[in-house]
Amino acid sequence: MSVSISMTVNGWLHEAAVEPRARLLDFLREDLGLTGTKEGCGTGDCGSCTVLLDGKPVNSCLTLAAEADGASVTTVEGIAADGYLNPVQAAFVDAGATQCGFCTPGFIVMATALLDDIPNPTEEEIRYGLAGNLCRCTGYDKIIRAVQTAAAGDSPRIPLRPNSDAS
Amino acid sequence: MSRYEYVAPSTIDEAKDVVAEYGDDVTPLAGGTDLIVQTRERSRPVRVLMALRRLQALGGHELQDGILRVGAMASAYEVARSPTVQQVAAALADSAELIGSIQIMHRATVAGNVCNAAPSADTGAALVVLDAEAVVVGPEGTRPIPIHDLIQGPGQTALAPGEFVQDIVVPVAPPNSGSAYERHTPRKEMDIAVVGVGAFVRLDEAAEKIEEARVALCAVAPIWPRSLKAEGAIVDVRITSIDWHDVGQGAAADASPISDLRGSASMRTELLKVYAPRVIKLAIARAQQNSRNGA
Amino acid sequence: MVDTAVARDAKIAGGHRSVGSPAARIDGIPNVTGASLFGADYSLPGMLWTKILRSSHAHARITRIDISKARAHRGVRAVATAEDLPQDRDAASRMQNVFAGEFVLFVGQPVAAVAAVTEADAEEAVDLIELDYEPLPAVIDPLEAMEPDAPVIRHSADPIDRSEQRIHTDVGSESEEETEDGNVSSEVHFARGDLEAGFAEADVIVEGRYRSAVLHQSYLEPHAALAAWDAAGNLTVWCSTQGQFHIRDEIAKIVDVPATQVKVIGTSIGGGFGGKLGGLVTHMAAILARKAGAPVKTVIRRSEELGGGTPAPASVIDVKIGAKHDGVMTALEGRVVMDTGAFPEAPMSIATLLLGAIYDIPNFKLDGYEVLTNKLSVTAYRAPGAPNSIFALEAAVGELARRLELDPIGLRLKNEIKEGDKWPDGEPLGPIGLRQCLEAVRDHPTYQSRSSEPENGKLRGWSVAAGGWPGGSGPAAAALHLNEDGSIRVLVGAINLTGTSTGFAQIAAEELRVPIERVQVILGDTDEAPPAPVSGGSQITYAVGTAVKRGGEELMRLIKNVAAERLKVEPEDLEAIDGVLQSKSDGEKKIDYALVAGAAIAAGGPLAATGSKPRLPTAPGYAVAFAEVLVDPETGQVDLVKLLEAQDVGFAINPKSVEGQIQGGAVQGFGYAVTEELLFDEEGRPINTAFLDYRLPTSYDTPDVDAVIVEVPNKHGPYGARIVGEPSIIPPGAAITNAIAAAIGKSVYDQPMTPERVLQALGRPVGDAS
Repeated sequence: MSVSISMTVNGWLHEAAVEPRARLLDFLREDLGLTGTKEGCGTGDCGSCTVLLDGKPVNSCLTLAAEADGASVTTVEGIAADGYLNPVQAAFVDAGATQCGFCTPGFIVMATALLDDIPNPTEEEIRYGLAGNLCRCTGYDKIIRAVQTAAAGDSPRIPLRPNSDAS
Repeated sequence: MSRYEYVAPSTIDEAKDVVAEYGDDVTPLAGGTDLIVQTRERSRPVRVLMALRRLQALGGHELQDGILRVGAMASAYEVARSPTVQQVAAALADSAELIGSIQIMHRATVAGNVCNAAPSADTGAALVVLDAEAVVVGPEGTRPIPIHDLIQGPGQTALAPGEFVQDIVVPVAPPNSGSAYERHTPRKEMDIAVVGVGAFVRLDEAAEKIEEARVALCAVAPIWPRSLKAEGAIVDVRITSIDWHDVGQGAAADASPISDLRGSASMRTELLKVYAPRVIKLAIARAQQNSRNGA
Repeated sequence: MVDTAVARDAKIAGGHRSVGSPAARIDGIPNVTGASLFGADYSLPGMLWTKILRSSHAHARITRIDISKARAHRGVRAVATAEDLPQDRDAASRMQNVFAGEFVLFVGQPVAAVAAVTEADAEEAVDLIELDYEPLPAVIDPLEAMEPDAPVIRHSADPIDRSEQRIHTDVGSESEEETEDGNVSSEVHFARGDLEAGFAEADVIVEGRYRSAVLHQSYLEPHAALAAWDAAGNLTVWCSTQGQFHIRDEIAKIVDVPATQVKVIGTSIGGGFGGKLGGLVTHMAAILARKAGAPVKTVIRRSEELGGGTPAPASVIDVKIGAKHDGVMTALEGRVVMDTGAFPEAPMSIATLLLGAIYDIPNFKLDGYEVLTNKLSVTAYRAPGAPNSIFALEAAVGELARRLELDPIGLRLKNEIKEGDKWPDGEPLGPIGLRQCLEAVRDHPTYQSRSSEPENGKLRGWSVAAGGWPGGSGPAAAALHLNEDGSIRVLVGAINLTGTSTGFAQIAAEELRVPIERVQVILGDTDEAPPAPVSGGSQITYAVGTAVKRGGEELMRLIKNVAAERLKVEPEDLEAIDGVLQSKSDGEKKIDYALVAGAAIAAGGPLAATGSKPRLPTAPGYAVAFAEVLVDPETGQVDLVKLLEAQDVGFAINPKSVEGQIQGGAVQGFGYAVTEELLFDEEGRPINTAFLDYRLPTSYDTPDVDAVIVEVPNKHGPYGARIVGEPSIIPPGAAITNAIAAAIGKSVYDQPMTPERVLQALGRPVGDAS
């Protein structure tokens, strides 16, 4: 029997009926078409599916859609604001912190949450805070630099659509 | 079967009704960080998931009348980062911080960690040394179960069908005491204990001698056993005279480790000899600190 | 922390505008906003989901398979088995065995698959497939498999298809001989000089048996494909692949239609590292979609990746080195046994050859054996085979340095292989950068600040290692077009991995003298784009980049001709700057590319050019790593505190991308050395099939990685570029294990050096794990 849920995702209200076994990850990807949230492991070990649930970073693969009934969810698609990349996103682009790009959405969401929690983290705090997000391409170095850049307020200002704001 | 029902009662009474209706088929769902994987990999058959998330009474944590109450739905993150928990139940804060990543800590609960009944559950051994109890709700009413007795073996608990944990209660220890929990993992984060040790000590007024101690072991037995031998090697002994070699040997003697993919039995035995002294020393240092602060 | 362009040749760097600059990735924004679409992100109306039934036996005969109940289950639209394959059952290669035939050869081997309306329907239907096995004796250990009385596990007499394996490099493969008996599927032998005399001449001999574990490539994106047939019998497959033309040809064989009827659309790929060349899911998606008459999506879980994928091989390598007191090496003997799992595809010959490719040793004998066992069959993982043999070689060289009390870098400089020397297969080397890499490490502040001082009861050690890789270079083409607005369009058939499209844009911008923003790179599918080799063997920039450069040169020539006609000047008089052509003799005469495009359309038609290149000689890349570790002697825990790697890339077209490649490879080397190992039980069952227990290094385990770019130009590659992607994974693991050996003062014979193995090396009584 399906479960009726009501959820605000990236600011928009959704009402839906979901299978009990459907995870928040499945609901976002299959029902809402928000495929930016990735499934890398399905066991909470890689962080590629990280979303904000009522402002807190969680693994959407470990959260049933039904459990997010009544909640507010932010995915990587909704994390930029006002037509510009958020500082973490902009720093990732600038630093070359994204290679294959598959882990990137999870890192963006988690790093954004990390900086909300600890605005001026040490490198140790960044490395610890991001330990639930695996990256196989970068060796993490440029990711750490990007988060440091974002924390320092040194991210470039990058419009979401590169040509819409070109000077 | 990979399909199941999902119900989310909003009061304890409604939850009891769910239990009355579905009986043994009910599996309580707290954070779900273990359970959802187990259902997907079908290592744990589930017919009816009873979500506890709407039960207001199960949320949060508070210190009242010398008792720390941790609600079944309080997240590991909330517990680990709580100054209150860090102060009065440091071993619990230590162990909750070890539950997976930040993301997992936001979903996982201490109650779920102990009810999953993995011998490697870090909060289990921590709560044992803190003399904690689970307050359990069931068809027959409410009853306490000491955490030490909650785990009966890997994946096995003392919970009767239809029972679920409402709170974990931890008696607050006197100021001249301290606790700690540490574990060995190959990686620094995102791992499961190969060996874990929890320790609680209460010192004399001069903070020179241990008057009371509890030591519990993780991932080296089917349950989270106390190590009475390690305790015996430190109780009524001046701190400066403790034979740490004996402490390690005692902990190793009270373990019954197996070999598995995370380490051999002999590796676990060797690690216990290292970790039991390390963790007890940390608990003593905290007790001395608390003793100074309390004075 | 990164140092850029340490040794860039002034002549090469001179005058470049676009190449050589650290341009931001042109796909950076879609990656950070979640807009990039990967394999599992594609869907079609009416699409079905897949679930795979896998073997629970390491070796068995399938005596009965009954799919009738599964077919009758709710939502099921197709059930496929080996009956649906065109070829004889039990083909000799893994990829042609989409489903097991008469025999299953490893736990996790697909036996059947179900396509159904929901994933739950498919999962339930798989449980309803009835399967009986007759268990057969299995062989799990490669050395046991070589024993004369071992059960023979080979069932196919077909020739072995090694096309996929040779993508990474075919160096050394001519020497490889296939064998027909027993479990040794192939062997290779290289020798030079007089081995006995070489050892007799030596003052010191070190030897050891070095074991490497099975590793998984662990790209973060599991294999995913979506297949759909149209009414005319044409197949389209969206998939995450390292080579869309390669996989198109493989799929065509399996579904038995001409390759021209198969269109592969390579999606964004969430890492591959060699593990996404084969058809782990594409083939079955295509088969199921045809049977079901509906689009089928096949995505496997991480547990299936680790428990049923194509990991990198384990090996047992014996190395014996003789040297004089002054460190000059006189003899080398090596024997490589590489465990290929249930199908032959191990990079054994290159692993064997590489033992003799780092140092110039006059007398050597190198033998290699590829051995079949009843485990997951293997495939490539970034510089396949090299981390195994370089670990063995460099552990022995490290021990030599300790025995002779020589500086590890000095010892290596004394013996390094150089231009003009020959690899064991007789190929003389062109210019290489091994010496420059050794010197770059030696001169780096991180190396200069090395220490052996213990800290808080932890032992500290440091060391270095060197490695090299030949790489591949397949034929490639690129199509370039001058758009009407004066911008440039580049069409290539390569998939986008590791920022290659940014590199192509930089090359086109360079040749056509336009800003990079004026270049549009289109990664076309197999119907649209000119052929490209797979993204394997580090060859994409080297091979496709050369094609783009040649096409760019030609398009520039065409543009200049049109402009010269319009401006009434000679083409040679024209200079291109930022999309404008200007007369060198008369500055008033100029024309921008948009006007050229318009003029061309009015005259001879739109301007387009193709760049094409044949197979080129390989452009070997060498790398040298330095590592410093702290080891807890009580727990065996290794803390990697410093990691530095210098790599010769010939010329860094995009230094930022190259640094990222070096850093990423270095941390994968850390995985080899310390954290990663796919474990099997006695029955050959993979037992750590989740990322919880198959441990990739996390950010918290990993230190800053210092990357040093060394540039010793290669004459064939664009602007002097040589291969980039693979060499960086090779020496860091060996440097780390050597540093562990230095810290604990004991020889190290295994990678990964888990805490338990460290304690064993220290003589502690641990290690009764079965």
